[in-house]
Order: sequence, then C-alpha cells, then structure tokens
Amino acid sequence: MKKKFIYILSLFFSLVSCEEYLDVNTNVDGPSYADGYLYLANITQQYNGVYWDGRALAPMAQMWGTTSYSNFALNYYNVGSDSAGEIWRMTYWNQGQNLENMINQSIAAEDWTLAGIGYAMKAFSWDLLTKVHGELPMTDAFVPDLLSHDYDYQKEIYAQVREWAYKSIELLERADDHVYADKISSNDFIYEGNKDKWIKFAYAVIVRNLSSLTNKTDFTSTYAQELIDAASKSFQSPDDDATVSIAGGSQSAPFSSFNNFWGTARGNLLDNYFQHEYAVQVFTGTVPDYDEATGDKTNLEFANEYYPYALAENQIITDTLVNEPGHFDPRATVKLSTTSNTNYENLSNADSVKTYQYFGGTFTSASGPIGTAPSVYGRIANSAYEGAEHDGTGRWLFRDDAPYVMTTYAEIQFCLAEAYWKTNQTTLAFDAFKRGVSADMQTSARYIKTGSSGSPTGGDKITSALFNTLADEYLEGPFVAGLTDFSLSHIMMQKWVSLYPWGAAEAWVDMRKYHFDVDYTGEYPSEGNGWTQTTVEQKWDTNPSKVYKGLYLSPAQVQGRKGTYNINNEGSPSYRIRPRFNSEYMWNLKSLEILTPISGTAPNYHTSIPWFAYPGELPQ
Amino acid sequence: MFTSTNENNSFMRKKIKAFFLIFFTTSFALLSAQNISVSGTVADETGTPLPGVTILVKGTKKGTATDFNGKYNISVAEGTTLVISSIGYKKQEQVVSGSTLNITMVEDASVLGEVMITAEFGQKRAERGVGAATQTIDGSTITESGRENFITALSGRVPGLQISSTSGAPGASSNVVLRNITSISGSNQPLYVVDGVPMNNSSFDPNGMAGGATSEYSVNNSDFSSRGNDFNPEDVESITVLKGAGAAALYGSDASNGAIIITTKKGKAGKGRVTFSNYIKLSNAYGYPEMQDKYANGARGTTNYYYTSKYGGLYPDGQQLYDNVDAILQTGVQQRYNVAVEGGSDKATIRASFSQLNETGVIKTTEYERTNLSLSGRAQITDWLKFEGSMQYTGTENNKVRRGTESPLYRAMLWPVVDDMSNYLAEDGLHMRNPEYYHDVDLLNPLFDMYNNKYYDESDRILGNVSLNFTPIKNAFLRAQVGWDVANQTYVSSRNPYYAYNNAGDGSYSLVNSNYSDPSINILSGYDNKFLDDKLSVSAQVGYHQLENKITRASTYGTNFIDASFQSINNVDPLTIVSKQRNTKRRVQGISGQFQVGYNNMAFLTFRARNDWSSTLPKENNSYFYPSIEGSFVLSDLDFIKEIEAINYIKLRGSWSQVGKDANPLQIDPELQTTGLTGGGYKYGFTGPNRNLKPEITTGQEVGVDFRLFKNRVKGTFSYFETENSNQIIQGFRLSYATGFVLNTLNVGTFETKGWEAAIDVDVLKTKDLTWNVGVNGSHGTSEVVYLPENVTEYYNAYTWLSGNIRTGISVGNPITSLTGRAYERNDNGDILISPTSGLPLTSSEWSNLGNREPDLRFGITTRLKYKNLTLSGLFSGRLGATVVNGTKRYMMQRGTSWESVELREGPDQVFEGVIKDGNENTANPTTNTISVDYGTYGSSIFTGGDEDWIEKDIKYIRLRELRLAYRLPDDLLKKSKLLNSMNLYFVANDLFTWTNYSGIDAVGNAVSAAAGGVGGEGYDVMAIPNPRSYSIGLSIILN
Repeated sequence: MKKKFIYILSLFFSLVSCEEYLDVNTNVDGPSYADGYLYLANITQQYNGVYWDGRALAPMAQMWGTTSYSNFALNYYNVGSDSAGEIWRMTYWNQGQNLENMINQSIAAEDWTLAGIGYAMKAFSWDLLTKVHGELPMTDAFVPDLLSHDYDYQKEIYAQVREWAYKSIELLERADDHVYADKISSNDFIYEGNKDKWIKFAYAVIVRNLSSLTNKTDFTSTYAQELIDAASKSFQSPDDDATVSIAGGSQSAPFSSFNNFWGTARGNLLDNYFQHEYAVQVFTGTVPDYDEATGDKTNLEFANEYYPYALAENQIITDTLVNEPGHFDPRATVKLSTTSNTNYENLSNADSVKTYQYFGGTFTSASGPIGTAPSVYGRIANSAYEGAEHDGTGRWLFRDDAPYVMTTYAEIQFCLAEAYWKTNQTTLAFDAFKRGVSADMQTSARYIKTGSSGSPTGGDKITSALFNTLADEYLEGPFVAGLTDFSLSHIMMQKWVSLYPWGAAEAWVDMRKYHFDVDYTGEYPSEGNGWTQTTVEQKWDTNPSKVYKGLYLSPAQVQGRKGTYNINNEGSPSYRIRPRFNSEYMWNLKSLEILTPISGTAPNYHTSIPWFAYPGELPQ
Repeated sequence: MFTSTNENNSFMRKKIKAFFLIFFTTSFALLSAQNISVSGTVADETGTPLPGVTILVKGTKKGTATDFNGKYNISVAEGTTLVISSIGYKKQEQVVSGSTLNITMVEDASVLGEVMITAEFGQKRAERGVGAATQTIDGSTITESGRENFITALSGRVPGLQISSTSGAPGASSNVVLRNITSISGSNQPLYVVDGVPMNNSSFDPNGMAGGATSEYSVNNSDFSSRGNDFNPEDVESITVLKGAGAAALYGSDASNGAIIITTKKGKAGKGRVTFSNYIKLSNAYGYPEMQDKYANGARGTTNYYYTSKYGGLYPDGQQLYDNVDAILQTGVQQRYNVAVEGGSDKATIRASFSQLNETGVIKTTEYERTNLSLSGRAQITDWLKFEGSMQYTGTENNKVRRGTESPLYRAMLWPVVDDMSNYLAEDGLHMRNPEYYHDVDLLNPLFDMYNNKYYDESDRILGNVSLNFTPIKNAFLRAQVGWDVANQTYVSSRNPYYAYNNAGDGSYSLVNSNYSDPSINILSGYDNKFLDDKLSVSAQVGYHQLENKITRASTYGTNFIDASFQSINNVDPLTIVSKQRNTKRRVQGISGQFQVGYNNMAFLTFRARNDWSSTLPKENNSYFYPSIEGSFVLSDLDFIKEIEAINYIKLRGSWSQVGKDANPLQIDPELQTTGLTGGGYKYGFTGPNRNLKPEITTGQEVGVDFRLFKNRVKGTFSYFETENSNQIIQGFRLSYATGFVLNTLNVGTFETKGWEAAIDVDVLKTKDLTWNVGVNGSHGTSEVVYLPENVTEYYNAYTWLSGNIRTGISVGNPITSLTGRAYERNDNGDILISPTSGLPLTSSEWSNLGNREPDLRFGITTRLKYKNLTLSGLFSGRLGATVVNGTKRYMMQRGTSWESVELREGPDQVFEGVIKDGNENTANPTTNTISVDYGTYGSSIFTGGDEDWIEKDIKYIRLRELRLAYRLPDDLLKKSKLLNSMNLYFVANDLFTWTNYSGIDAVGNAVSAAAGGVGGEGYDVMAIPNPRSYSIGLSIILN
C-alpha cells in the first residue's frame, strides 16, 4: 500500500512545475513591442490634433468666430473641461511614449535617420505646446513610476526645444548606411523619408522658436543672429513646406479619421465656426475708421449694404475697393468663404470673382456687423456632403483629402523679415517679406480644388489659373513689390494672412508678443498699465507703433467691442490656455499650484504672461 | 519538466479525463449492499424528528445520517453497536437487535460535540479552533427561500454579507461584498468554492470588445448574468461563509474578500429515494413612481408637443390618456422543476438531479431559462482510500432589456401619455411609429426596442471535481483534488436600424463568444494527534495549490443592416465588420501550511501561511508570502463557568492575517494597438504598463465572541474587524498625461476599513407542537482612504457618473464609498450663495464630498413559527442611515413627469435660502436673499436643481423579503400511501412590502452591472425596475 501511495504522490507532484508554468502573461492579441518605424505613421498623423485645437485658437487670433469655443473667443476658458487640450493630449499621449520609443529604439539600433526625424518632431510638438500652454512638465515627463510631475519653466523648455532640433540635425547629418527600404518612406507622411527636407524642417523649428522672442529686450543681442542663420538653412521654397498627407476617401474611407479633421466627412466644422469680421476686414481691405473720441465707426452717407462704413486710410494687405490690377488679393477667395456665386459659375472670370462678397461674424456669433458669416465651406448651413445642395468633400484646406499644414516656407520668410526689421536691416527685411508673400500665394494655390460650374456641390470658387494671374498682379502691385511705406505691420499682418487659419497657434503667439497692441507704457503690460478691471485701452490704428492695424480685442474701446472680460480675468486678455483639465487640474494639482508668478490654480492663470512674450525676465 | 505550456495543458486535460473515468466507473460499481437493514426514527425528547443525526458503526467511520423526517436506514451486522450523535444532544450508543431501532435524543446543554465547519478545500475544521468569523447556512434555507439563485437567497441572512442585485430582471447580475469593499478598481466579490474547487462567478465585461465603445455594451446600460446564478439551489447541502481575509487565508489571493463555500449534496446512505419538487411563481412590478397626468408636454405652461418635458398646459377635458408604463409590463411567471435520485450504502452513495427553470420577467420580452444536471457521489474504496466527486452541467438562456437611461421604463416615461405607446409599429409594420401630437423625432419607443432589438446571452457550463482521500497511516491524510470549471458563453446585442431617431439608424449587430476554463489542483496532506493524556492536540497540514483562469474571447461587430428585421452578423454590410479577439491566462501556484495546537480542547492557537507565485506579476515580485495567526478560547469550559447553568458555550476568538493579491493578466507589458489614422502602424493604448507592479496586501484583524445560552435557546455571535488594504493595484488610475498615458496601473491606494457584525438567534418558544424562533443580524462598516498620491485630489470610477455630476469619488480622509458632486457655492459661514441676477443658488465648478453611500447599519431579521406540521417563516432585510442618489427623481423633475414637479410649479414663488453673492457674502453682514423665483416661468432646467438636491440622506429602509407558509403532510397520512415518504406544500411571497423614507424607486438599487468591479453602483437609483413582488406555490415530495 505504501508503494501505491508513493506512486500516486509522485504522480501529483509531477504537476508541480517550473517557471514555465507561470510564463503565460504574454499578450497574444496585441504586441508589447514594435520596431521604431512602425510608430512613425501614427506620430506624423497625430498632428491632426493641431487642427482640433485650432478651432479654439483661431478665435483667439481673431481669425474665426465660434459658437462652440465661445469662452475661448472671449479670452476665457471652459471651466472644468478638457476643451482646447488636444495639443496637450497629442504631445504627451498620442505622440508621447510612441515618439520616445521611436527615438530611443532608433538610437540603440543606430538608425540615425529615424532618430533624427523623431527629434525634429519632438522639437516641433514641444515648441507648439509651450507656446500654447506656457509652463509644462518636461523633465518629469515619461519618467516611469513618478506619481507627481513638476513643471519646468518656459525658458528652459525653449532652450530644450532648440537642443532637440540641433540634435535632430546632428543625427540626420550623420552617415547612415542602414537599408531602410520603404520602412521610413512609406510611414513618413511629411517628407517621405527625405533627409534634406527634415534637416530644413529642424531649422524651421529653431526659426519659429526664436521668432516668438522678437519682442524680448535681448532679442537682437541674444537670438536674432541665430534665427537668421537657421532661416538660411531652413526651407528654400514652398516645395519644402511641412505638411502631413492623408489618405482621405471621404465616406468610403475605412476609418473616418483618414479624412482631414476640417473636411466635410468628419463634421467638425459644421456652421459653428466661421470667419471673423477682422479676417474679412484684413483680407478685403475694409478695416473701418473709428472715431477716436467715441470709438464708433463712421457710417457712410451713401453707404451700400456691403460697405456701410468709412474705411481706415491705411489698409495693409489690400484695397479691394480700388478696382485696378494689383489691388485685389486673390487669397481672399480661398481663405475666406463666400455665399456669392452659389452655383459656381464663371470661375475663371476675374470680374466675376472680384465681385464676391465676404461677411465676417463676431467672436461668438455668425451674425456680423454687416452680414452673416457662412460656414468655411460657403453656405449658411451646417456642412453636408449630400443633398440637393451640399459642400462635397469641402474646399481648399477644409477638404477631406487636404494635407495638414504644419509650417511653410512663407512663414519662415516672414520670421526672417521680422528679425531683419528688428536688427534694422530693412532692405533684407523687405526682400524676405516679398518672398514670403509670393510663397504664400504658391502655397495657397496648391490646395485649390475648383468647384464644378453650375453645380452647388462644393469646391473653390476660383480656378488655379485665375488665382495665379491675380496673384502675380498683386505681387507686383502697391501692397507688395510697389510698397512705399514698408513697416512691421506689413510683415506681421502678411504673416497673419499666410497663417490663416492653419497656423492660428503661431498667429496667436505673434499677437501675444505684441500684447494685442494694448496701449501701455513701461515694460510690463498689466492692470493699471494697459488695462483695468473692465476695459483694455488699445492703440488706435493711427498710432504708428500699432502692429495689427484694425485689431481690437473684445472688450476694447471701439464700437461692437465694448464690454467686460470674465471677472476672473481681472481685465486682462488671455495669454495662455490652461493645461488640460483632466490631466493637470484633476491629477497633478499640487505641481500646478506652485507655479509663479501666478499659480496654476489661480482663477486668472490663463492671463499669466508667458516668458516668451514678457520683455525681460519674469518676476518670481 | 514540460517544454511548453501546451503540452502541459494537454497533459493535465488527459489527467482530468482519467479522473472522470475513474469517478464514473467506481461510483456505480460500489453500490452493492450487505448485512441486515436497520431503520428507525430519531427524535428529540418532545418527539420532534431530528434530521441530520449521525449514526456511526462504533469504532469505524461507517455510518449514515437521518433524513428530513428523522428517519434513517443502515445495513449492519446484528449486534453491531451504533453511535448516535447530533450537535446539542448527548451522544448515545445502541446495540442493533432487530430491523427497527427508534432513538430518543437527550439534549445536552452543557457539553457540545465537535461542531465542524467546512473550511478551505472542503476540509473540516473544529469550530472551537477557528479564530475568525464564519457562518453556515443550511441548504434547505436556500431552497425554501423561493429564489431562483442561491446568491439572492443569502441576502439578509448573514451579517456583513451585502448583496445588491442590479435589477429585478430575470438573470440579473448580483454584486456581492463580504464585510467591506477591499478594492477600489478591481473585483470585490468573494471567492465561491464548490466542494473545494473555485467556481467562476464572472459577469460579462464588454470593454475592449468589437463595438464595445457603443452604448449597447456598457456596464451602465447593459447587464448580463453573473455565472454564480448558474448554480442549482437544490444541489446545495450547506453554505459556509468565511468572512474577511483571515478565515479564507489558505485560499490565497482570490479569497482576500472572503469566501462562500458551497458543499453539494452527495446522496445519503440507506434506502434510495426520489425527490421531486416544483413551484410556480407569479411576479408583478411595483414600487415604480407614479407619473403626473395633469399637465401636457410643453414649457412655461404652454402645451407644445415639440417638448419631451411636461411643463405644458392642462390636458383638455376628455383627452384620453394612456398608461404607457403599464404597456411595458406584464405578470412574470417562473416555474422550476427539480428531480433528484439518491441512494447508496455505507460504502458509497450517489446522487443525480435534474432541474429546469423557466422564467419570464415583469418587463415584457425578458426571459431566463436554466437547465441543471448534476451527478455526485462518494465512496470508501478501500480502508485507506476515499473518493468524492461531483459534476454539474448548467445551460442558460437569457433575454434582457437595457438599463438606466436606455431602459424601457425611462423611455416609457418620456412617451407622451396622449399617445398609445403600445402601438409601436408604423403602418408598414416595419418602421418604428412616431407618437401622435409629438412633433419632434427624438423619441424611441421602448416596445419597439423590446420586440425588435436583442440583448441576449446563453451559456453552457460544466463544473466538476474529483477528490481522493488517502489515509496511509493513522492520524495522517493526503487529499488530492482536481477541479474544473469550464464554460462557453455567447452574448448578442442587436439593434434594429429603425430603432433610431427619425427611423434613421443603420442597425448594428454585436456577437461575442467568451469561453473560460478554470482548472485547479489542490493537494493537501496533514497529520494530527493528541499527546499528554489527550490534553495537547497538534495538527499540521501542508498543501500545494495550482490554478488557471483562461479566458478566450472573440467578437464581431457590424452595422448597416441589409434586411432591417433580420438579426445576424451575416445581415450587415461586410465592409463595416470589425472583429477582435482577447485571450488571457492567469496562473497561480501556491504552497500553504497550517499548524494548530490545542490545549484540553479549550484553547487553540493556529498558525497559517501561504506563499503564492502568480503569473500576472513581474518575475521579481511574483512570489509573495503571507502569514496569519488565530487563537480561540472556549471560556465556557472553565470550571467556574461550567457551573453556571445559563451558559452553555462561550468562545472568545481573535485573528490577525495577511493576504496578498496579484494583478489581472496583461498589466505589466504595454499593449500596442493599431490606429485608425492614415498609414496605420502601432501606438500605445490608453493604459500604461507597469513593469514594477507589486502584489497588494490586505491585513486584517478581528476579535469576536460566539455564545449559546439557556439550553442553547439563545445563540449569538459578535465580531469586530479592522482591515488595511495597502499597495492597492489600481487599474485605470489617472495621473498627469506627462506619464505618457491617460490611465495607469499602479500600486497607489491605501485605505482602512473597520466595523462589526453581530447576530443573535433566539428560540422564543419551544414546546412539542409550537416553536418560535427569531434571529436578528446586523453589521456596520466604515472606511477611510489613508493614502493617495499627493497630486491626486480625487480618484473616481467613471461608470458611477450616472446622475448629474454625482459620482463615486475617492479622496484622502473620506470613505471609499463617498459621493462627490458639484455642491452649491457657500460662504465661509456655510450659507448657500445666491445669484444676484436670477435668485437661484450658485453651483460650484469643483467636485466636493456630498455623502457616503455606505449605510450606518445593515440588518436582517428572520423569524420562524412552527406549529405541528405548519411552518410560517419570514425574512426582513434593511438598512439605516444610508445615502442614496435619487437619479430617478432627478430625471422625472427634469421632464416634469413627477407629481412633485407639479407641486412646485403650482406652488407659491420660492425664495431660496441663502445669501446673495454680491461681494458682501463673507462680511459680517451678508445680504440675505429675498429674490423670489416663480417656478412656473421657468422651463425644465430649474426643476433639475443641483447635485445636492438629489442626494437623499439618512434613508431608512426595511423590506419583507420573504414570507413563507409550509405544510408538511402528517406521518399517519403518509403511512397510508406506500409511495410517499414525505410531502411538503408551501406558499412563498417575496419582496412583498417595503417601508422606507426614500422617495425614489429603489433605495437598494445598483445601477451598475457586477461586471464593473470597484466600488460598484449600489446606492444609485437610476430608472431601474426594483425586485418585483412575487408569489409562489410549491410542492416537494420524497418518494419511497
């Protein structure tokens, strides 16, 4: 019996095993590791997040009005909400660890090209992120096991962004004899693996980074030359523009996110986003004249419905009312939308195209001072891709298959022009300015998809050929080549036009660094020195130091803009978007709280002036 | 030893098959009889037959037990001495001298025999030596409860056992918590064990499946059965509840929330018998709120059928109104048939049973069907080898409706009462009909939902185990047990394309196949002996344990139906089909040890320890050791107490224990996902990996007393416990996105719980013909979060965000069952701030603590009055001091469907109490609000109020859960019939009445499926139909 017992005992203990028995915690349905290049497509495509938040930023840069992000349009924010937190989510999570892995794995494998591309994108994303939000957890980001993530100040983040960009250049310039076949080219939706263009892109990141510092007191001594040098090694023509190409496919796409965020298929720009009256004023040369005593516009005695007000003498971009060659900027036709020519007739006829009427809305209502602003697709209706009358796949950049624009040669040239201007190299500035405007014409023309004549089914209301003809005339005309009173306003406002609306984030950077042309003295615009609890005194358009002619905040002293900010603003416009609520205010509060000079938890944190826009060093 | 896990698997499978083979062949072969047959009745001094009395052949372990009627039958040689024993009676010996032997037992108030409880792995432990709280429920209590599943039947009977059913619908899942919640994101259910083998009690978790993000599949809107419902209550011999981590320490990780140990019936020796029982039960919905029928749809007093809210004008005279809520209801019918055969000799017994349950719910179209087939037995194979085994097959089919704001009740209440909702089809017989009068197209007809959509699950499951018990030498044993719980489950959710606003949907079909396979092996070996003139007892036990939980899921989801009325994945646009698979495996190996020393059968000290190795933790942390120590002292055995006649038994006990707990599978490594963006490739998902995960540790301590007084007529127990749950593994923990992830799996939380449980049971009357017994039990528990990462102000379970902004928010210093929400703004003095413009209270934008869902007291009352053959019994359960979220009333106010909303709109202008927020609110002289607000001029928004308005505090609640009248046919009547051995007739009413100061539907509702885990949805009342009132009539017959 004992024998039996021992036999049975040993039989059971044969089941007692070894380590392998426990080795079953492997995910058989999803990999835990992927080669670096397999992350690349996703990282590039995540830049659609910029268009997501662009809907909050464009109203802050007075490009658009909105009924959705109205709190942002009014220089406040959505309390307790994640809105306008998508760039945050993109940088930390959607690219985040994926990008870190791609860089680290590539460096370990000595895949210098892939690592260099990674660093370039990392620099671009963090530059954008700090410009929108200011202080960020950077040193603590992606460190495993941390339960709190302290913030780095913007000054350090700025330096780090450029360091990453230079690191990128260094890696990309290294000899890399690895055979990638199509591993990079088929996953890189920005430059298809073109190393030279990536190097130029990394320099563009440096230019854009330094360009936001032009109003700092030490710009000329510390940053100007670095900017000028980087610009020379950056983009050489609009062919180098950084864009993210997408598959599109509209309704037959396997995933709707194959389509552009601003296309009709995604339904993200119904009729709740529309061009701002300021955009219409700038693009069509109809910035009104305000009575400096009352702030009122002057009604014309013989006004027609479309031009009811007297216009300011000094229009910067164009003077459409003067119907002479060179006075018409054709970009209005594509960048703005119009309800004119509903049936898409005579799209190659200049006289017809020039008669289109453009209406802009206010910050929070499509119903503007002159007329109702249509959707970006050109109808006073929600976007639609089917029905008797519809928007098709959209138009221009607002099209299902339009690539996402990240930065352009034009933008870099305007940055260069501004740097030359600041360093008193006016002739060089004027040359860069002209290259910039010309380049933006080419960039703008590239995305034209002319509608079908007689068919109200979407598309642009101009042909590319006509656009180019009008563009050439304009470039030779009195507002570009023939300019006699070249000024900083021309550089900055043409830059603003070129950024419309894809570069709203950068346009907002420029507006903030010039402090929205708030009328202040001394180095620090603040309550009592530029604004009070209730009003912001802005420079009049006649003031030569005013950069953005016609730009008035809401509230300001002019007609249609009088009012008050949210009481928490303490009279100040918004200078940053608060960090994403459900990342920081819910789960990282203590770290946010200790920020200076204004605590991240203060009711007016969104008015805290970021370092880049602050003339000197911030008070602590 | 094995080169791959697959080999290992197939090896084990073969081994298990071999055991089953042995089981079936031996159990039938051993049913042979011998000797002479002795039978008789065992009764007490009053003549009342005593069931469950043990009758053993002296000097052996052979024997039998008396049946329900106190009868027994045993085959022994003439002249054999029988030892007859029963708890609470004096042991006696009788010599067999003929075929009839009736025995009268004499109560023994002072000395108690060895009361045994079923502890881990089916092992018996002497109750005297147990240092932690346990409670045993007799199987007949479960069957007599009138409940179709044993989990619901336990409710109210065990202090500290909280059972919240997710709805009164057939097959609804139940959330069971023993003592207190111990995990704020993981499972809080106790371990269920059947004959020593873990039983899977999972509920379907839709997350991560194809189409899983849609509302068809969420823990708030859908619910599928808990697998614990599968078990046939008629197969239960007894249930032992091991509370807290300490009592079940040897079960390891899975029992850190305690364990519910089920022992199944194995057949009784003696004359074979056939038991037949059935009942029929009728149920009716009640307790749902009354809707106002005074005002029509509209706003601000003007009737307008463009609105769903009923703030319009009066209905015109003569307007026909329909009871649309009634249109979704019906009388539920439930029937169960159960047949069992059993028999055997003192060497071997066998039992087989078949049970069929058919149920239709109180909501039309809801159905539940269950078929149980079980076979079990035991055999003494040789002197040194004993065998036991059981196997249960369960097949279920369940048709459900959705819940919460997708429920038929919610939708029916939205339907305009001027329209007959029951007419749900459009004229073409295919489309959903829009209501008359009502002009918008945003109403969905719930009847269309019920008859044209499908929320269905079915399962086939086998739970089996075999065990062999060796006694190689005296005082030692080796027990080896193999168990296997395996099931195949299918879940279907189908949505008709016309079940959509304006009939403009696409239709969707989701099919999930989910299989699990949980094999386990337990090997135990022990030795016990007595020394020093039997004064010192020593017992030692070591064990090896191994288990696997394997889940295999495949799902497919598609949209765009080709034929609107056909429900199949083949009927969707092939281009829309998305499929997913999910396979996980968890394996645990463990070694346990137990050492007990006892002195004079009076004082005991037990050391227990276990070490586990889990596959789900990183290799360097995957081994974790946890010890426990228990002590007990039978005070009543002290000489000077023995002299006190009133005291029969007092035991003092205490225990300290630790239990480690591993993680869920696949939490260590990242999981990359494909993207839906151009170019594809891989990216991380929401949740970050954690390569440093450690086991979480629950440390518990308790002290208690068990006593029996006055000739055992008063029995009681009391326990006080404290636990600390540290290093909580929290899934989905949120931190800054700077972690690189939205959600993280971390060892972060620590919290403490403490509380008490008490029960007292009194035989108020005890005579030959009349007995009356009353039992009261209660429990109280509190908890406090001790640690969360500093930067995290609140952790919440997102699925509890069910009504307004109220959710279960967990923050340091507060109970883990805290409710948070957006409170009214208040000044430093605590006065509500009022808007100077509107006169309405201002709501804060921050979340703050609004209450605690855990009641002050949970209690149950049982009573049993027996007169001759007639028994009347009742069960009450209730709560005191609970806080309930009245989401139902909030919705009804918002829509103007409640009578309260009518009162408000008709009432006088209201001045909200508070101070004006005008800058003076925090000065010595704040401005008292005098702005009067006319509700009538407002639309629905004002009636909705703030979060604070819908939290009802200090809720008292008592429900008559069970009222039972049973009649047993008298013996003399039975004797006339040769066929009948016994016959019982009974009538049960369940959930008959509720007394409460709560104003919503169900104060004990649970708005979240048990699949959710974490803190659950108890205390959220959001449009769920409460348990219906039901009446059943039943019959139970034992045939000779």
